[in-house]
Amino acid sequence: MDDLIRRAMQVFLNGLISGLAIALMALAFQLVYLPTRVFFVGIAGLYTVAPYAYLAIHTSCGNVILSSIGSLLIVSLLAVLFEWINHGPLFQKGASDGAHLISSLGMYIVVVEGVAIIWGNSSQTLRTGVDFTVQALGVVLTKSQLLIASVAVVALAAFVGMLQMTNLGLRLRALSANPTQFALYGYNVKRYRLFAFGLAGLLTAATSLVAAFDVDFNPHLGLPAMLLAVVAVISGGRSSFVGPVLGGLLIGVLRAEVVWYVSSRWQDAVTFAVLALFVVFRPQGLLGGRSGLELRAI
Amino acid sequence: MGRIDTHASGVSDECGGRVLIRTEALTKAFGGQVVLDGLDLVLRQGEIVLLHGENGSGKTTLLNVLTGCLEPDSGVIEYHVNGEPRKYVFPRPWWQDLNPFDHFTPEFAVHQGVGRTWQDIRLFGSQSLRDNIALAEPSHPGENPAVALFSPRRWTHYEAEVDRKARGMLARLGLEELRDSSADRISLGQARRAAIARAVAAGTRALFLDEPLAGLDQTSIESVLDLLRSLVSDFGITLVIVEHAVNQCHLHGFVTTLWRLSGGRIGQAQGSIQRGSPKNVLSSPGQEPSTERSGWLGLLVRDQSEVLLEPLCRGAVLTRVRRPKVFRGSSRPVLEIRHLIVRRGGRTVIGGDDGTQGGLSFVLYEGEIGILQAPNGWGKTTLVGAITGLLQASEGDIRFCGESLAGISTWSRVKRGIHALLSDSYVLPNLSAREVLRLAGNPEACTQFAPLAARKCSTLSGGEKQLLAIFSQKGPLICGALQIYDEPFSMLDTPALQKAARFIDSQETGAVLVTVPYSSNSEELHL
Amino acid sequence: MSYVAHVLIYFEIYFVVALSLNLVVGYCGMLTLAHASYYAVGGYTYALLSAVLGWTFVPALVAAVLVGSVLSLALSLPSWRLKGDFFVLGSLAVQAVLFGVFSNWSDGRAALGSWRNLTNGPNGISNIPKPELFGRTLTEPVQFIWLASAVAVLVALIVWRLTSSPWARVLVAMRDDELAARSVGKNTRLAKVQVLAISIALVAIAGATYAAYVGYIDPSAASLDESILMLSMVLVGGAGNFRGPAVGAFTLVLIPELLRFLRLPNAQVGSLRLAIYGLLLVIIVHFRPQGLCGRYRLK
Repeated sequence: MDDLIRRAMQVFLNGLISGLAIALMALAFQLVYLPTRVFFVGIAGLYTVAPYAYLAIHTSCGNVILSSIGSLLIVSLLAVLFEWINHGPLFQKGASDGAHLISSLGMYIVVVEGVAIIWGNSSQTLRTGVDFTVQALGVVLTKSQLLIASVAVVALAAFVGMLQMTNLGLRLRALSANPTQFALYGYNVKRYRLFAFGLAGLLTAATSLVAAFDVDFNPHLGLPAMLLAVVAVISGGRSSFVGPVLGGLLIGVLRAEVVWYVSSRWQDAVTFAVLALFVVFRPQGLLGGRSGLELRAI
Repeated sequence: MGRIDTHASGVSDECGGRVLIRTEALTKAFGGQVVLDGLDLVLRQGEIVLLHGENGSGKTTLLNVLTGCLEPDSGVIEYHVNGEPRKYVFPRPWWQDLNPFDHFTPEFAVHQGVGRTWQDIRLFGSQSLRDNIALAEPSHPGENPAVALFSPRRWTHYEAEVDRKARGMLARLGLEELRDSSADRISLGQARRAAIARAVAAGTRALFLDEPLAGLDQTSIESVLDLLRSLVSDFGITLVIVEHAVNQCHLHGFVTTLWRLSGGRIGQAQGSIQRGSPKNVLSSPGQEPSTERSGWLGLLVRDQSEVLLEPLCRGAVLTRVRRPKVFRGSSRPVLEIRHLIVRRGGRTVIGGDDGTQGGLSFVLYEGEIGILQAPNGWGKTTLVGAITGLLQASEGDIRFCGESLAGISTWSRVKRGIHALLSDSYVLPNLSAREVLRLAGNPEACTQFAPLAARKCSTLSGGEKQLLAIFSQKGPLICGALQIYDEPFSMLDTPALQKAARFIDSQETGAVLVTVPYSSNSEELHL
Repeated sequence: MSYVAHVLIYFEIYFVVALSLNLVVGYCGMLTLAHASYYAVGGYTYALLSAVLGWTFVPALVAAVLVGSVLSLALSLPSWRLKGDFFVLGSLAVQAVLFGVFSNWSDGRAALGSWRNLTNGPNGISNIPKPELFGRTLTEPVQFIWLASAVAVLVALIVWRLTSSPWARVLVAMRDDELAARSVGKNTRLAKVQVLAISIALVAIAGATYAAYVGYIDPSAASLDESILMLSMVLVGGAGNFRGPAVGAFTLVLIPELLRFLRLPNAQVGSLRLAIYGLLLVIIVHFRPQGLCGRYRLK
C-alpha cells in the first residue's frame, strides 16, 4: 500500500512539475492574447529559437549564466520585433484576426526554417553529463525537474507580484481590460503592447531553456508546446491571467497520470479529448466568466 | 405576474387577430442583472406594435429572444405563425439539443415565419443587392450541393424565378438600378429598405424591426414608412417595431398596439402616460430638443450664464452655456471642427448626405459648456471618436487650441489636454474602483467614492460605474483644456446626477462638450 | 520529356488540393491546418486497398473519398462552436491526432493492413501497384499524366458547378456575416458540414492520386508543414476563384524546382521553400491581402 501511495505521489509530482512548465508557456500566450487579442502563433517560433540562441552564445563564451541571459534577451527582443513590424501595424490598420494569425504563422515559419537551415534538423541537448537525482520523502526528482520547478515558481511569483502590486502591472491589467479606455487615460497603447510581447518572449524563452536542459530539442518542438499552452488557456479560463496557470497544472498532471497508468502514446489523445470536452461543455474554461455581452447564437 | 397589457387604440377589444406568438414568464439575466423578469406577451396577427421603454430596459434583449438569437433563462415561447404551432420551454434539457431538428436558433425562428432586421443593417457586403434578396429565398434546391452538382437543371429554373422575384422587389423599392451594386456601397436609407426586403423574401410573417428609422433623414424615413405600410396592406405582415423616443412620432397613426417594457415586464408601469391611446406617447414632441431649464440643463447653468442655441445639421442642436466668470470671449477657440466628414465602413456617418455641403462645422470657446443634442443614430459617438482620435476623419479638420490634430494618436491628444468619457465602454471590469482612480491619476477622489472604493468595477451598478467614470476624469494627470462627455447621464439617478453636474460645472478652465440624446417626456428627469 | 510530365503531374495534384482548400478558405473564410492530414487519409486509404486488397484505381478512389468525408466530421462538428482563431486551433488538434495515427498505428510483427498494423508507422506503405487504365499499366509519367489530367479536370468541373450555384452564395453569406445569414433562415451549421465534407473528399482524391503515382506514402504527407504549404498556396495565389488556386499551385511547384536549379542541397531546399512561403505570407497579409489573383480580400 505504501508503495502505491509513493508511486502515486511520484506521478503526481512529475505531472505538477511538467504542468508548471506548461503553465508558464500558457501565461506567455495569454500575455499577448488578453491585451491584444492576437493569437500569437509566433510564440512557437520564440520557443524554438531560445536553446539555439543559448548554443550560439555558449560556443563563443562558454559561460552558462551569460548564455542563459543572452538567450532570454534575444528571444524577448525577437518578440518585441514581431509586434513592432507585424502585429502593431496590422492593429493600426484594424486588420482582422485572420490577418494576425496568418502573418504570425508566416513569421513562425521563417524563424523555424531559418534555424533549421543554420543548425540542421537533428536533435540536440543542452545538458552536459548525466542528470543527478534528489530523493525526498520517498519521491525521486531529477535536477532538471528541480530546475523547471524553481524557475517556474520564481517566474510565476514575480509575475503575480508585478501584476497586483506595481503600477506597471496595473497598467497591463487595464490594457487587457479595455484598450480604448486605456488610451483615453493618456497611456501609450503601442508601448505597453510592446512590453506585453517582450514579457511573453521572456517567459517563453525561460520555459524553452529549462526544457532544453532536460530533454532533447529540435526546430520543430514549438508548435506542440504552443498547442499544449493553448489547451491550458482554454481549459483554465481565457479571461484572466490566473486561468491559464491553473489549466497548465491540470494538463500537466493529467498527462503524467495517463503516461503512467495507460501509455505515453495516449497523452495527446487525452489532451485533445479534454480540449474537446471544454469547448463543448464549458467554453469559458474553469475560471472563465463570459467576457462581454456577445450575442450568443447557439 | 404581469399579464399582457397591450393598448389598442380606437379598435375594439375583440381585436382578435389570431395569436401568432405567445410567451409566458420569460426571464433573462446577464451576470446578475435581470433584464426580463417573468414577461408575458401576446402578438396577434395584423397588429403593428411599438415596443418602447427606457434605455437599457431590455428591448433589444426581448427582440433577440423572440427571434431565436438568444436563449432565455426560463419561460415558454409559443409560435403559431406558420400554422404548425411550436412550443419552446426553457431551460432546455441538454438531451433535447441532440436532435438537430429541434433547436432554438435564428434559422428555426425564420422557418416559423419570424424574421428580423438589425440596427446595423448587416447586409452581405460582398454580394450585390439582388443576391442579398435572392439568397433569402427559403428552400432553394440549388442550396443543396448534391442538387447543384448532379442536377443543375433543377435549380436553374428555380433560380430564374427567384431572380424575377428579387428584381420585382427591388423595383418596388425603387432600387432597381442598384441591383448589381455591392451592398456596402449604398446609402443608409436604401440599405435599411433592402434589409427589410430581404427579411420579407425569407418568408417572414411576423417581422421584428430594430430601430428601422435611426439615423435617417426625413425623406428616407418616409420611404421606409411607405415600405412598412405596403408590407402591412399588401402582404399582411405583422410588425413589431423597436424604436427610440425621438423617432416614435413618425409612427403616429400607423401603430395599433403599444408594448411598454419596464422592470423586465411588458404592461403597465407608473406614470400617467400609459393608459389610453398611443397618441399620448407618440405625439410628444420628441423632435424638439428640450430648452427648459430643468433636468441636467438646469444643473449646468448658473444664474447669470448666457445660453445660446445653435442648430446644426440633421436636427442636432448645440446649446452653449457661457458661464459668467469663466467665459473669456470668442477670441480663444478651444475646439474647432471644420467641414468634418467621417465615414465608417463605406457609410458616411458625419457630414455628407443631408444636403449640407462641406460636412460638420462648429467652434467651442474657452469657458463654454457645449451641449450637443442629437437623435440616436446621428453620430454623436462617432464625433467623439473622431475628436479623440479613435476614429479617422475622412475629410475636414479638427483643431485644438489652434493646432491641427491630424495624425496625432489618441494618447498624445489626451496628453495635450483632450479628455473624453465615452458613453458605454469606459468600464475596466476586473479592476477595483480605487485602482481605476489611481490609474487615472486621481487617487484623492477615493474619499468621494467610499465605501465603494475597494469593489471591483464589474460588481458596481450602472449608475455607480458612470459616476466613477466621471470622477476619474479629474486629476493632475489629465486636467485638460477640453473635456468631452458622451451621454454621461443615461444611468444616473437624481442625487448622482447632481453630483455629476456639479463636477462638470467645477471645471474652471477650458471647454466642455457634452453630448445628450433627445429626451422624451417619459425620460426627462425633473428637479 | 519525362521530367516535364513529372512536374506537370505534381502541378495537377496540387491544383486539385488548392481548389479543394479554396472552398473552405476562400468561400467560407475558415482557415484550416488539417488539410494535409486528410490528403494523407486519401493516400493511405488508396494505398491499403490497392496494395493489400488489390482494388483497382476507381473503386479505391471512391473508397478514399468516402473515408475522407466521414472523417471530415471531426473538423466540421467542432466548427459549430469554434470561431476564427480557435477553429484553426481545432484543426491543429485534428492534424496532430491524425498524424499520430499515421505514425503510431503500427506493430512490426503484424502484417500490413491488419488491425494491429494499419499504417505501418514511420515506414509508410510502399509497393503500391501502378494503376491500370484501359488495360494498360501506367508506369511512366508520360502515361500517368493522362490520368492525373483527367482527375484534375473532373475536380475542376465539380468545383465549377458548385461555385456557380446558390449553395456558394450561402457560403459567402456565411463568411460575410454568419448571424445575419442564420437570421434569413440559412442553416449555416449544415453548410459547414457540407463544405468541409466536399473539400476533404476532393483533397482525398488528390492524396489517392499522389499515392498511385509515387507508389509510396508515409506520415510525412500528413505533416503540419505540408498543411501550412497548402494553406499558403491558397492564400498566396488568391482565394475565391479559379485563377488563384492555379497560380498558387504553380508557384508551389515552381519554387523547389528553381531552388534545385540553383544547385542547393536537397535538405536545405525543403526548409528554404518553406521559409520563402512564410515570408510571402507575411508580405501578402500586409500589402496584398487578396493574394496574387484573388477576389476575396483577407482584410
